[in-house]
This record gives sequence, structure tokens and C-alpha cells, in this order.
Amino acid sequence: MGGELAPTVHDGLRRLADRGWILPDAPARVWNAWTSGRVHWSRPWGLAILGHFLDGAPA
Amino acid sequence: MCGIAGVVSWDRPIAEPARVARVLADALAHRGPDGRATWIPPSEDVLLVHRRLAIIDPGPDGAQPMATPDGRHRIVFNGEVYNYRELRRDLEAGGERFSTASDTEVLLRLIVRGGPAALARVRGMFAFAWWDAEDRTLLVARDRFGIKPLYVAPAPHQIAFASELGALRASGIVAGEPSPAGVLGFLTWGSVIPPLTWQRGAETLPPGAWWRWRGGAGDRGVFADARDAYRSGPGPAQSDRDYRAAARHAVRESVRAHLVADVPVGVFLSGGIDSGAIVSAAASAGASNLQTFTVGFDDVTSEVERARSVATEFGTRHHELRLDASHVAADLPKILTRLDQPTIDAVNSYYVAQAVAAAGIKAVLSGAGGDELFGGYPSFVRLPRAMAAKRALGPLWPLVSPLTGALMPARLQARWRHFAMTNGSLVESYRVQRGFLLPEELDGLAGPALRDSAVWRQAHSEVAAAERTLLAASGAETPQASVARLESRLYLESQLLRDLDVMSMAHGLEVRVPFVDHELLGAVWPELGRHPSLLRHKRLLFDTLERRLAVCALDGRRAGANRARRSAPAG
Repeated sequence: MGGELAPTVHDGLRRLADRGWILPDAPARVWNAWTSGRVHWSRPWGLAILGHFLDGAPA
Repeated sequence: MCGIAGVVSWDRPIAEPARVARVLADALAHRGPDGRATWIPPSEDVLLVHRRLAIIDPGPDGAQPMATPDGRHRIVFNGEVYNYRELRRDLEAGGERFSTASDTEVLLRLIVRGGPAALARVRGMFAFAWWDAEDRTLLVARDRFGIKPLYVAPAPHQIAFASELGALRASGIVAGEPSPAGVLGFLTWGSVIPPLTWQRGAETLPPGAWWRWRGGAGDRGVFADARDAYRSGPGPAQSDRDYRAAARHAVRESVRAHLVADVPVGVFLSGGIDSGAIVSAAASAGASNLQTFTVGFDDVTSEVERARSVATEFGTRHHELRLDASHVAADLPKILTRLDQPTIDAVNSYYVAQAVAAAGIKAVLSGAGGDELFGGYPSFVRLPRAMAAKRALGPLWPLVSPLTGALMPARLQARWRHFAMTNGSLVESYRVQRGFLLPEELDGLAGPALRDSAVWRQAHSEVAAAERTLLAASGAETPQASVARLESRLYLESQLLRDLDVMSMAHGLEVRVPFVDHELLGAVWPELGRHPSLLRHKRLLFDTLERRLAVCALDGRRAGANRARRSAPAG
């Protein structure tokens, strides 16, 4: 997930923050928590999926 | 197995019914590549849409919407009734006469005769809508485990329903506005728990529930409550020997029932014990020319080898499919479209189903549900042990728990702190095990769209209500039965089965789950709570195998496709 999917995950987290569902600094905090081993990969991934959904990606 | 949708308007014709029907049918096309049909009466106040994946009675007789000969009752149905032949015999004994060989007609006439209560007799997976033109009554219902999805959009003048939220959105029946409660439910559990959805104005019909409207006035009920299977029963425990024999028979019977079809049915074979047991039971049920499918990523070759040895042992026609998931980023928009609701998992299932469907098979058996039924998760040991330790330490707990937490891996420490400070209830302990964001983590991340005080309060109220319904027991249970119930109700039903449905139906593939069966469930629980040694490494399931497989082939771990599905997306 840190490779080719990383831009997709960053984009989903940013969308979630842009819509106000999470705090503006949350994407960086979540990503750093994963890269430092403090949370499971599903944390940034799940939030990114939610961000894509709420921003209309699956229309 | 199909896609269904419809609209009933109580006091006026539906606006542009043919266009609405066409949009709904197009949005569900992937669920039913074998047929497409719509029924709209001259009054244009009802429309029923069906997309067909033909598995039982695949000829034109089995087409839907299906009506009784007098045209009064009509049904659209997604799923399979595995005991339809037995039900048909009973109905014929009562005077019913059938004109097709399909399970759809059996379901139609069963409801005409017995109403929603009769659904308790159905062994299978289903979601349907049934219309009585004379009484102007609409009945929708969903199987007791929620294997098949159904979303309902109630409005003052009309009711709409569909197999997928995407159809309701595409038709404009729901506006596409996110539901804060659905978002909060997802953030809490990693899937949107029923009856919530991520769409405002639409809800999930809960498993085992029915909803009926007569002329616009609705009433709701439950025809089967799967929680009852976990309640402790009276009387002494069965002997290990008798219990194992009963479980072995029940596994074989469930697999036999799930093989009913008029097209070839394959098996997802991972090399783990769940799918191995299904192959074993299918062989003992006399399934001939069984086809097995193993889907491997480059990093799971040992599981592919284990699956191959199981296939060899049982003489199946085995297919090994190699996946390249390196295009996830490019494929993600279409995967998200098919996902229908947000979930933290399931992406790899999209590729697994795609590969199997491309091999030309229309229906497969899956080992999903084996861990929840036979105790395959660490939670079966961890939760009762942690709760017992907390109780036993009593006043010493505040001193001991920080020391224990300090020894844990970094990613578990927040979860341990939550467990340490909560009341030690089963639900809170389970939240630590399965929750996506713990309450204190949510507090640290939630943004203004959720934090608005009225939104926050209302969303929490709706999620709390959903949790109460979903997680409450229906009676006294052993600790192990409680864990099995929670894993089944929340993780299996709300996440795994929903994800499996949408990802397989994205490719027109029917997935059948013999370990998610009420007759098998009743044979295993609550008795398994009285035989803790049979929970260890799913010993009870291992004992059901027709022929003992090599230990190297069945190591008790989930593997292959199922494990791949839970691994991080490639890339």
C-alpha cells in the first residue's frame, strides 16, 4: 500500500478532510501512524475508501 | 441469484415509470446477465424489475417477475431456496399446483399460503419483494443471515427497494446525500452496520426481517432470529462422540443442500480447513465432476500447493488462477462503484470473483462463515480470557494493566488502554477486537461535518440503536457462544457476506455459503460452548472430514483466497 496505491490513499484521505468529515491534519497523522507501525494498514485504507465514496467517486 | 428493484406509489402514478425501470435495470445489469424483465401495470403505480442470473430452472419458465396464474400475486426474488423441492411437495399436498420447476414459484406460493411467518421454513439465501394487487400489499424480506442484500427507501407517497444502493442513486430515488449516522457507523466498525447505509433516505433491511405495507401503512416483523441458536439450552451436554457425529452429519447435509442447481457448481478451494471440509462433504454427498478453484497471488504459493494436494486427494477438476492485483489503483473507480457501500476490506475479492467467472463457472461454494461457526478466530480465546483476568484482578487491575500494555506492540496499545478503562463488558471487549476507530480515536479525528453538535448527537443515537439491535443477546449464553454470535452478527453478516455478495455479483458469479445455514448452526451451537476442546484449531470441523487429509494440506489456518482478501491491497 505504500507503493503504487499510496497516491490513491492520500487522495482519499484528502477528500475526506476537504469535506470536513475528518480534521485537516488527520490525513498526515493517519498516514504517519501507519508508516510508524502504530496502526494497522486498514486504518488509512478504510478512511481513504470512505473519502472516495463520500466525494462521489462511485457515481 | 439476481438483482431486483421496484417502486410502489400509493396515491398517484409513478412519474416516467418506463424510464425509472430502465435505469434500475441498467444499474443492476452486472447482477443478472442472463435476463432482464420489468412489470408495470396499466395504472403505472407499481414497477418491478428483475435482472436474472439463471441457476435453477434456467429456461424461460423461471423468468421473473413471476405471477400466480390469476395475476394477483407477483414476486421478484434474488437468491436460492435450497429446500424448494421439499417445500413444493408440502404445498402440493395442500392443493397447490405448479407450472414451473423453479424455486421462485415455490417461494411465491409459500408466501401466498403462509405470509411472512412461512419464511422460517426456507433454507437458503434470499431477498425478495412480493406484491398483492388485490390488497395493494407490498412485502419485502431478507434471509435470516442477510446473505442477500436489500435496501429500502421509504417516502411518504412511495416505497422503493433495490439489491444495491447504486440503483436507487442512479434512478434519483435517493439523492446521493451522505448519512452522518452511516458514516459514523462505518468509522466505528469498518462497515456500515444495518439498518444504516451511507446514503440518507435509504436503509438496509436487517437479516431475518420483513417489512409490509398495505395501502401505504407499514408494519414490520422478524420471521427468524439467528441469535436464538446461541442461547444455552437445558439438559446435560451431549457426549463428544454423539456431538461430533451430529455435527459431521449436519455439515454434509448443508453442503449437499447447497449443491442444488441446474448448472455446474464449483468450490473456492484455498487449502485451508474450511474449503477443504466443503470439498470433503461434497465428495461424500456424491458430487461428481467437482470443479475447484484456487486463486493465488505471488506471495501465497504455499497455499496454492496445499489446495492442489486437497484437489488431488478428492480427484476434483482443479483450476489454479493467478492474479495480478497491481492495477488496483487504475481499477479502483470501478471497484468502488461495485462496492456499493464503504468497507475496509473486499478489494481482493473483486479480482478473485473476476478470475473464477472468467473460467466460465456461474456458482461456487465458499468456506466463508467457518471461522465464526467453528471458533477459528483468536477472539474465541482472547475475549473470555481477558474479561476473566480483569474480573479476577479486581482492585489490582489499575496497577497491572499499564504494565501489560507497555509490553504490547505499538499498534495494540491504544486498544489495550480502551479495554483497560471500560466496564469490561463483552460488547466493549468486542469493540476493542473488531472496532475500526475506538471512541477516543474518533474524537481525535472527526471533523466539523460530524462534530456539529446536532449531527453528532443524532448520528451517535442512530449508531447506538443499531448496535443495541445488532449486538444484544437474546438469552443466557456461554462466553464462547457470545463470541460466536458477535462475530457472526457483526463481522460476518455486516461485512464479509455483504462484501462477498457485491464483489462476486460484480462479475455475475453466485457465491453460496454452506457454513452460513440455520440447520447447521442449530447442530453446532450452543452445544459447542460445552466442548471447549473442540473449539481449539476448529477441531470439530476437522472431525467432519470424510477422508483425513495430510496435515500439511490442512493446517487449520485460513489461506488462499480468503487470506488474500484480508491482506493489504497490493501496490
